Order: sequence, then structure tokens, then C-alpha cells
Amino acid sequence: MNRPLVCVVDDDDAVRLSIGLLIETLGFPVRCYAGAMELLDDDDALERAHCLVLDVRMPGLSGVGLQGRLERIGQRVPIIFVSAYGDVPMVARVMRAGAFDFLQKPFNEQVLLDRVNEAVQVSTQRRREGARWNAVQGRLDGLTTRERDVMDGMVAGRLNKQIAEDLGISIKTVEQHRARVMEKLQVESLAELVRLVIEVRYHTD
Amino acid sequence: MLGRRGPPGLHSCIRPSLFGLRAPRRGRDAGRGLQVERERGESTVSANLGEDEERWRLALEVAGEGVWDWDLHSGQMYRSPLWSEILGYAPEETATLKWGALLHPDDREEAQRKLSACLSGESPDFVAEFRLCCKNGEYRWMASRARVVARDESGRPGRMIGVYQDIHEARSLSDALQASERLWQFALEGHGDALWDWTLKSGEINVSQTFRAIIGLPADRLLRGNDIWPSRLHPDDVRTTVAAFSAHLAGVRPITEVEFRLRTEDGAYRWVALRGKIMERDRNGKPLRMIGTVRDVHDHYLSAEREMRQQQELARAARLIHVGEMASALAHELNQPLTALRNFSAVALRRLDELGAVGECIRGPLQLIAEQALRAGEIVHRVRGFVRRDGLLTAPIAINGVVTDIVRFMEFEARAHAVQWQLALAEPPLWVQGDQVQLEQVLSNLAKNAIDAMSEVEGERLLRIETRDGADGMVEVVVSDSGGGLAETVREDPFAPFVTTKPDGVGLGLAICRTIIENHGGRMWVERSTRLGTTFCLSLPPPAG
Repeated sequence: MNRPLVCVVDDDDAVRLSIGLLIETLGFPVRCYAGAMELLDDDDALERAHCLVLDVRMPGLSGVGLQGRLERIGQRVPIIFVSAYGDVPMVARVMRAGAFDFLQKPFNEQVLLDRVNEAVQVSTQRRREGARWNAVQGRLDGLTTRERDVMDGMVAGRLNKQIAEDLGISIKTVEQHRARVMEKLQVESLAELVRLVIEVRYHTD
Repeated sequence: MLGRRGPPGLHSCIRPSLFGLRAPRRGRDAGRGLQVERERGESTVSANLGEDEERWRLALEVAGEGVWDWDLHSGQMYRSPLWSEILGYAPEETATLKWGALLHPDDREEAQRKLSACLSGESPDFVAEFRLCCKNGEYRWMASRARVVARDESGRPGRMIGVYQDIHEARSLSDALQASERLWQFALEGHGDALWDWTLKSGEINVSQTFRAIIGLPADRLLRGNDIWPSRLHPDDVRTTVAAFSAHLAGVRPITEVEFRLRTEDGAYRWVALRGKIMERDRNGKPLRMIGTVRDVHDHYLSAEREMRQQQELARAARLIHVGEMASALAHELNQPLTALRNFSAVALRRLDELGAVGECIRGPLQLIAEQALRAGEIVHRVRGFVRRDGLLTAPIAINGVVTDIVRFMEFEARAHAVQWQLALAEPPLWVQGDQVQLEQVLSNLAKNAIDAMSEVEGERLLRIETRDGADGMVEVVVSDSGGGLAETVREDPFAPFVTTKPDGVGLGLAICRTIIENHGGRMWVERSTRLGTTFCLSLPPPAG
């Protein structure tokens, strides 16, 4: 069940089914919903979805409304809007709000499939990176305060002696901490450590 | 008929003859006049009248006529006892009375002018009605006829004989009638109605002062029927006006009632409303006289016309929007199955690959289906692009004004359904960027729906319209009714096209409203719909820039 899930929301039964079948030809599992609220109620799908294909205008909560809800709960899944209407102001609005794409019905299915593929890739990439940063962050969180102080000194380019003086500890202790840091962060060299820490800081900013 | 030659024994040969006179104008039976012929050379009247003379006097008195006989040479005046009696004098008191002094001041001039005319021979008879002062100081109306019965060689009048009749009662009655007529005229004209009185046979037409004022006609200009209708009618109104008159004259309609334009003296046309009725017919039922009113409705007509034009414009805009929305809704409805069609054929094509060579023969047709689905979509899209947003002319608009306009437009409808308005308009007034006509269209649609929704409500029927500041700088208009809420069939998506609860509806009203509002860059939604009523909201952007 690690394959990326795609969710389709459209109130028109035939359209919903046809888009679902189409996306299944890409080999992705697909879940279809007749209304936006049904998707919001499916926590598992929200957790796993790599791409949403949404109709813009639906009874109840519209596609645009769903986009806003997801934004507010921090769910940043790529959204492809499909609409039988789609005038310029509406397209501009959803694109500004971060939509992945907007397709006018009826559309060339190849375009939709390409965009779904891309969306899934983007999403997968995001998730992978997210997972990686989560792992790195976890390792960083495993450092003791003293080890973190030593690591900061290393990244700042200070020598062991200087770090020992800064922290008022022996050089020997610094060396022990230093080895522990390299081991906990799973890095082989000082250069690798520096790059990791800089990347983490950049990413978490 | 009584007739007589002069009696042979009479030394002054007076030969009065009585004969019926032409019926006088007022229909009063004055009956007879007295004509006295007098032989040339006779210049004095003997007081000692003979037997015949006495008989005539009695006959006249029985007829109620006083007699006077005036010798112009001597100035002597004989007045019969009845003459005195009519005025309340004893016979002997009348000798010194002067006719001119007894005349009512208002009648004096005319009576004396007529007398002079008769004396000079300008008119053969003296015929006059005037008031004479009675002994008790009251004035009574008299009708008098007289003739000069003797002239000298130079034609100067020598003797004049006349009769009198008391017509006071008849005259009072006619005065009362006239006063009553005046009262009516006053009442009608006070009401803005001008009067006309048309004698069909002669074509003579009398019009009141107000009537003349409408067409700027000078007070002294005489009129014939044709002078007003048809000659002053606007050419475009002739047919309907003549038809309206004919229908009444022929007895098809109980009254003539018609509106038309009359040309005024300065050449312009004014709208008037005419009512008229035949008041007199002859024995055969042929109309003789028609009386009626005319009212100047020009300004009223113009404003009514303006109102009508506005309504028509609104209706036209509604039709245009209808066409646009129709196409738009149709496009949406068609695009859905076209999308499905395209997608299904695409799925089939992709699954075909899994079959290998076996399925190749159906690849072509499937591809064609997929292509045609897209092509149909293109066509629909083009049609939509063509009709969509036609004539959206946005400008800064005071939204409260649009609301009050709608209240005015819908006043009649609301009253007909006993619906009360409740307005909560934002102060200071809010402005939006919008197309006035289309926004009126939306609000009147919502108001109409609200009124319809309350048509079954027993209790209070309240139609509330509120204007207020909304989120993100938008302006919101809220329309609430106290009806029973949206029907089950439309509750889920009241804006869906082609879904309606109205037996004769096409289900586009709210769909149109939403399209209009979305074209404005706004939103429309249902805020609440319960058994206690429904609230529609719409938001509109503030003025651009």
C-alpha cells in the first residue's frame, strides 16, 4: 500500500467514474467522492493522497472551498481543478491559491494524466524530503545539550582546543562528544556534518 | 284661433289681433303676443275702451299677461290691473312708476338697448326678460313682448303696446339648474377635469375654461366639433379615438373612454384622457348631445411611459441574460457527459494495449469517438464564449439605491401578496462595482422568489433586505423571507440549473443570479433555510480603483 493515492471529487457520476478509471491506467490507486465533505471525512485518504482532482462547482462545499479548508489544516497536496465553467477570474483565483493546474472540461485525457503523474511525483518528492528531514531532525533531537554545544562549535569551524576553552571542559571530553555527535548523526566526516546542519537550518527556517 | 276686424262703432280704430307666436327659446309657454294695428292719423288712445277692448283685456288677464299701452307723444302709460298685481301695487299706484327705474340694475342696460332697437325700427319686436322691482323691494323675473303699433310720417314711434308675464318661478328653477351645473363644473374642474358639451347635429362644441387652457385656446375663439376632434388629434391616435367614439355612439359601449394626444395652439401634442356620454337622444334614439370631461394626463403619461420603458429594458436584459445563462447552463450540462465520453474512450484505448494485436481493429473507431468528444466540447465552449458576459457594464453603484428601486418595482406584487418590506440599509451607503441592470435583475429575482415562498404562509409575511460590510472588503446583500424554507428537491443545490419547484418555471432564475454575481467577481450562497424562512446572501466587490 505504498503506491501514491489519487483522490477524485466530482458530483457528476459519469465524470467521476471516467476520471477514476483513467487515472487507474497510470497504476495509481484511486478513491472517488461525490462531494467535498466526503473527502474531508476520510482521514486515511487525506493522509495518503498524493494528488486531488477536484470539480470546481459542486453542491455544498465547492472545490475552491475544499482548497481553502485543506490549506487551513496544513494539508499541502497538489490539486488539479477540472471545471465545465472555468472563466478567467475563477482560474486566476484558484491558481493564486496554489492549485497545481486547472483543466477545462472536456479535456485531453493525456494532459490530465501527465499532470497527475507530475503532481504525484512532486508530492512523492515532498513526502520523501519531508520524511528525510523528519529523520534528521529526530537525530538532532537525540543529541544532549553538551553534544549540541560541541556540534555548534564544530560547524562554526572552531578547533577542539578552542571548543574546550569555550565550554570550560577538557579537550579529551570534547573529543568524546565529537565522536558521539558523528555517530548519532550518522555522518562520516566533518564536511558531511556541516552540510547536514546547514541544510536542516535552511529547511526549517 | 281668435281673429277680429276693427269694430265698426269704435272711434279709434284699434284692431288688435292675437296669434300664436313662435315658441320661445326657454320652452316657456308665453302663448300669445298682442298685435295692434292702428290706423294712420290716430294719435291718442281713448281711456274709454269699448266692449271688445275690455274683452281682450280680460282674455289677456286670464292668460296671466299684464298689458301696457304707451303713448310716446304724451308719455302717458296705461297699465292693466294684472300688471300692477304682479308687482304688488294697487292699480292707482302704477301711474307714476317708471319702468326704467324698476329694472334690476344688471338687466337694465340690455332691456333698454332692446327697447331702443324696437323704437327705432331696427327690430320689429321687443322681446326681453328682465327683473322688475316689486313693491316689497324684491325683484321678479318678467318676460315681455311688445311692438310699436303707430308711427308718424317720419317713422317716429307714436304708440307701443306690450304684454308681460311673470316667469319668476320658471326662471328661478332654471337659475337653480344653472347654479347646480356650475357647482358640478366647479367640482369636476377642481378635480382637474375640463368639460365639453357637444351638440352633434350642429357640431357646436362648448368647452370649459380649463379645456381651453390645456390646448392654449383663446377664450373668445368659437369652436365647432371638428375643431377639436378629429382635427387636433395626433395622426397616430385618430383610429383608436374614432373607434372609441363610434363604439359609444353605436351603443356598444356605455361610455366613451379614450386617451389620445391633442395638438395645442403652439403645435405640440399633449396626452389627454377623455370620457364622454350621450346625454340627449331624439325620439328615434339618435344621439343629439354628448357631454364629457378631458383630463391632461401628459406628465403622468410620460412618467408611466418612462417606467414602462425601464420595465421593458429590464425584461430585455433578463431575456439576454436568459439566453446567455441558458447556453452557459447547457454548456455545463453538455460538458459533463462529453468529459465522461472522452475519458471512457481514452480508458478503453489504453486498455486496448493490454489485448495486443486482437484489439487493433477497434482502436481507430475509439480514437474517433475520443476526438469527436473533444470537438463537441470545443463547439460548446465557443458558443459559451460568444454569449457569456454580454453587456456587463460595470460602474460604481450605490447598492442601497438598487434595493429601493427593486422595492418600487415590486411594490405591486408585494402588496398583492400582503408581503411587508423590511429594509436594513447600511449607513453610510455602500458602493459596489457592478452592472445596475443586472444587479436589479438579481435582486428582483430574489425578491420574487421570496414573495412566492411566502404565498402559503398564514402568519406574518416579511421580506427583509439588508446591505452590510462583508469579509475581505466585499459588500453583502442579504435577502430573507419568512416562508417555509427551500423545498427538499432544491435544498441541496438551489442554484442548479433546470431544477425548479415552480410548475411553470425552467429552473434558471437562481442559476442566472449566481452567474451574474460570479461574473461580477462576487459570490452567492444560501445562509440559512429552515421552516421559518430562507436567507440568500450575495457578495459584490467594492468599486474598482
